[in-house]
Amino acid sequence: MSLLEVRDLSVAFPGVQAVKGISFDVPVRGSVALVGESGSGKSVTALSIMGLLPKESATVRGQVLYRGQPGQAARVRGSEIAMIFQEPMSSLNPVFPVAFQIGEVLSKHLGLLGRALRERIAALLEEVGLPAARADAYPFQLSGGQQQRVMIAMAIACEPKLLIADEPTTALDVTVQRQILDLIAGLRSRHEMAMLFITHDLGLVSEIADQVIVMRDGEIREQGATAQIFATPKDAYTRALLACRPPIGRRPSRLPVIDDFLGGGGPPSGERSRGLRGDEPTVLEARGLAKSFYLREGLLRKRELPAVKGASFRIAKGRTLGVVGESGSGKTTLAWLLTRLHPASAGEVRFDGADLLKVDARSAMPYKRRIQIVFQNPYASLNPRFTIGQILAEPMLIHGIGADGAERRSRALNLLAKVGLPAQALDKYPHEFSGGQRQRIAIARALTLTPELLILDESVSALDVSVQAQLLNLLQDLQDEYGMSYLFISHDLAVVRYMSDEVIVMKDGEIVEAGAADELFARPRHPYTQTLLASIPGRAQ
Amino acid sequence: MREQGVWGLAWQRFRGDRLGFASLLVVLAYVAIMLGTASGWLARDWSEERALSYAPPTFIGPDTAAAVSPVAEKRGAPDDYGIPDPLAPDLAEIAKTLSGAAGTKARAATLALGADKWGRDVLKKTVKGAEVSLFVGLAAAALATLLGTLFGALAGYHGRWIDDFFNWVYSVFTSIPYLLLVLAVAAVVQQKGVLTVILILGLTGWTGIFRLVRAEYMKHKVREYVLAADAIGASPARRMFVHILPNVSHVVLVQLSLHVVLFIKSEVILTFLGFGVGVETVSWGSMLAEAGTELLLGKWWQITAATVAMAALVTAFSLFTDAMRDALDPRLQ
Amino acid sequence: MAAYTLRRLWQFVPTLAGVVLLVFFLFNWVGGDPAYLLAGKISNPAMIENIRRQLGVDQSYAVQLWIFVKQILGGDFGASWATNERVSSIFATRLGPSLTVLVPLLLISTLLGMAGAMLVAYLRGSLTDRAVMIACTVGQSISILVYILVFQYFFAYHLGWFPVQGWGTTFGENLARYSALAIVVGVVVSLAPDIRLYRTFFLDEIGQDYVRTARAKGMSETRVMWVHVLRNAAIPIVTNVLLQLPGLLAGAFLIERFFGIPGIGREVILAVERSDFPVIKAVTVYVAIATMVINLVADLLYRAIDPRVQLN
Repeated sequence: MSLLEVRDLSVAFPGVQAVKGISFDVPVRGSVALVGESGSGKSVTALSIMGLLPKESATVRGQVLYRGQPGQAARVRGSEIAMIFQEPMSSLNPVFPVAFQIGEVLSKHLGLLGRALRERIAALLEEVGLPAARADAYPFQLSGGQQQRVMIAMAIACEPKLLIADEPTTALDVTVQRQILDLIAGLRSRHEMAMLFITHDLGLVSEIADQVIVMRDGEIREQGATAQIFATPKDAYTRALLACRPPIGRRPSRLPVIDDFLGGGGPPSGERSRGLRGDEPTVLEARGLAKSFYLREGLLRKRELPAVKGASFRIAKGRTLGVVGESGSGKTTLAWLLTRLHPASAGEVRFDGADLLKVDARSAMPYKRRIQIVFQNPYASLNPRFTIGQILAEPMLIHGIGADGAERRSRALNLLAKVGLPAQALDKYPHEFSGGQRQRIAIARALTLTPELLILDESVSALDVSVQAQLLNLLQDLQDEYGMSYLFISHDLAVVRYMSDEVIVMKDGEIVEAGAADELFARPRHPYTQTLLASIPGRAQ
Repeated sequence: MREQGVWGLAWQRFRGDRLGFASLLVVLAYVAIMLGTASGWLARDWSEERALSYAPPTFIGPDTAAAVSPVAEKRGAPDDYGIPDPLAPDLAEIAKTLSGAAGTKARAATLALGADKWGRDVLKKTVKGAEVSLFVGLAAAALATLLGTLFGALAGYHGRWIDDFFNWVYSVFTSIPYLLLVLAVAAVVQQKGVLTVILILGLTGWTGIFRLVRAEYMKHKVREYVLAADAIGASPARRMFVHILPNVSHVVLVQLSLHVVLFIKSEVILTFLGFGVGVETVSWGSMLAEAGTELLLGKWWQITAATVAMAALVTAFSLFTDAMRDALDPRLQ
Repeated sequence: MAAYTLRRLWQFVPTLAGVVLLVFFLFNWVGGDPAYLLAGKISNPAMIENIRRQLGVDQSYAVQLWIFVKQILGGDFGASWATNERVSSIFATRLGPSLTVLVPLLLISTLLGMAGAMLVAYLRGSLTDRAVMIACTVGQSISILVYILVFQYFFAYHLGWFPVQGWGTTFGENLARYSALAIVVGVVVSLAPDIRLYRTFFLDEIGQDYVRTARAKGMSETRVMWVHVLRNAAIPIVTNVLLQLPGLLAGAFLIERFFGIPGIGREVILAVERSDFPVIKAVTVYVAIATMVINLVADLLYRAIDPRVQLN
């Protein structure tokens, strides 16, 4: 008998059928990964097992059996079944110290009090790799990784038989993700826990799960042993998911997309070569670029918070410079300095013979036209009160491109076709489009000004992998057609490797390593770059 | 098919809210009454003394005891509050000048909603009172919202010294409690009337809107769509008013609506205390001011009429505001 | 902590200067020559001339402003035009009665408001929740004047449970006898808006991720509400209560006036009715100072009960 049996589970919210009759098992001591893109119903499944869906809006049908008993799973939550979540910061109660929140579980389920309680809390903290002194800390005083360790300590407090982990590392940097994955793996073997691991990242799955369930639109597309699924996927969607992530070792000319598989055709072939010949003209060069923010402290003092410390680099015409770094490395600040969204503290930016940082606001206008930017969040970067037509016409209007409204409209239509959107999109509003479509619109907006340099600040990071692949293909095509230079910023090493000719690695505001993309990824010299590359999950396959 | 903008979607959601939609109809009915009385179609003769003093409502029937003594002043209701009625001398004077003309007519023994001390129709007073209360509420709220939004946009968007300056003005205004500030202004302004009340309420009541709009602008100016507008070269004024303003307009609209309610209630209190609209017109506040002594005599109709009329308007306006807030909630987009 | 408090105290200076300017602008410029107001009360022209000299209104605005600033710094606003009582003593003697009513009113309405709000937030979306919310909306839409008039008529005049108005000599008598009905009216009036506001505070917290975590840990619904949610919702509630206090100090004037409680609010009304400028000016400046101090206390308390906000 399996530890957990899910039988014909359906979950409906008003207007949406989130989960459509799925069945699967989690064996004793087994590790099962539930994989899917956003909207696949994987998190809803996990919450309904725990009985944590809001009763007023969710209708749950089907059975969840724990040790063969229906309804038992929700009764033993916190003791025999524990759960950790994606956002450790918001998942911890902000106003109680760590020890209180761990101790609560122990008092409730094991009846521990006083000294025994304190000793157990200290032991748990030690087990998840936190110093016992952090017991009195409040959640906001801990880093994201430490917060997730506290969540794990709470989860394993009562020696649960099953751990449900809902995207526990998605909000974390890649090196921290590595540490948390190692911690979970160690705890699992020590405590003989079964695990249900929910993720969108197939790379993780090969490391942590012995069985995989692939979900899409509330249905299970395929399930089976991990090795089998990775080696011989039967379902077209699974094959597509496996193929559309940029591989770390190769560089196909086009990434396969879902339609290639579902439509019956095979994945595209051919490799793309990246790297500089050495004789490309320079489009932009930064020297000693620096930016500091100031925090008021005490009565008169100010504390300097350097965000970028003396960065120097050059971007070749028609080529892509990749920027890699974890959160807080200063890579986004860099993008803002180049587009003059923030004034720089020091340094110079040579662009077409002029120092961009020295020109005043009025004379900067022509340069603004030639350097454009696409942001990360597809839901925030388009003005929700404008139609797509207005969004695309505005930059042309400001810069006097196009003689009249009709000409601007035809230009906008042309660009919409270029980014793969129908002409009807022109009269619609942003909320009518998906995340991937919105990023296409944002790219089209930048293209209205035919920039020479396009800065892509985590522009594909918020998207599902299948959509990501389509966008990356589009960006490659546009670069080939317009000969634009890209500054491609991302925390995702595989994507940067795929897109870039040259790469710079940033840490704490400094460039720690720079070089040709292939060379840097094959033979990293700086220890930080080596750690980063070693942290990529699923590298082995 | 026409494409649905954000406003279209909000209107669709709003229409789906039956309580909210009914409230809007009630508010519109009051606005119609306001326009009707202002143009003279309704309750033009509200000040005519057409019934006996304290004639009861029709559904109660005539008051047999009161029919004998029509002159109200002589009743001399004991003033248990020991507070001089600031309106009393003025009212007595008006009564005196009017009594010559009205005294000759035969007076009604009952009216639909009864009569006040001078035999004026409570129903007509209530209808006429709606005009003053609603107009003051709408106009003062419009003024306060305009100031609060403009100041808040400037301070929130530009930051630095502009923000420091407006924050200073804000802290000065808010360190004096609102009603104290209103009374202090009322004390020095000798001119009484509708316009004065609107100016007092509007010029002192912008601070709450300022704070919210400022916070919204600070939040929105670092949103990616505004950064994108900056990156394509849109001027600061364009970013402030073309890009951000439509996106914070739901906050402004809800505040406007909330302040209408707040100012209707404030006007009633101000007028009650004798600092509001003058005696030449009627407001629910002045009706309540008369009701204090009436209650002791058991004449409950005037206070009831004014209270119900005001409660219906303010409740409808509040429910309408709630429904509008829900319909405009940006999280629903 | 000390550095923060010091910085906040330093910020009092420009704000207070602004209040002084505003009050000066209102009373000496918009208000015009106060001698005309006094002329109605005193007929002798020589006396008026004398008063004008005493008040300094025959001087330039700069000199008048300097006189006003000196008055504030010395804590001496002169005497009431109406009663000749020293203004400084007016404020001192009226504060006690005001607080006798306000402190119990604030405590009772806050506790009742929190309890009611937590209940409807727990039953969110139910029929009870909607009924209470609509009742609150209707209750809030009735003018405070009506509550005062009706409660006073019914409970004091008609039933005779309370004295209609008055004020005694001992604190116990004042609190139990003369303030009781005033407090009841105050609580009834503030309950509806409090419940509505606090309900949104509770709902905000109930939607947070940490509530889901607490449930995932197997905590009972009671513990989730009373420990996790309440502790978080208490932060905005406590701040809100303190920020209400200065407004109530002057805003309870209607209650004070009708129940004959000799507090600051009633004094304000009387002063405004009599155009008693020195008293209004003094009360405005004093209450502004009190507001700033209370805001600072609220801020310090907020920082004490919310561990996320650290001083500096």
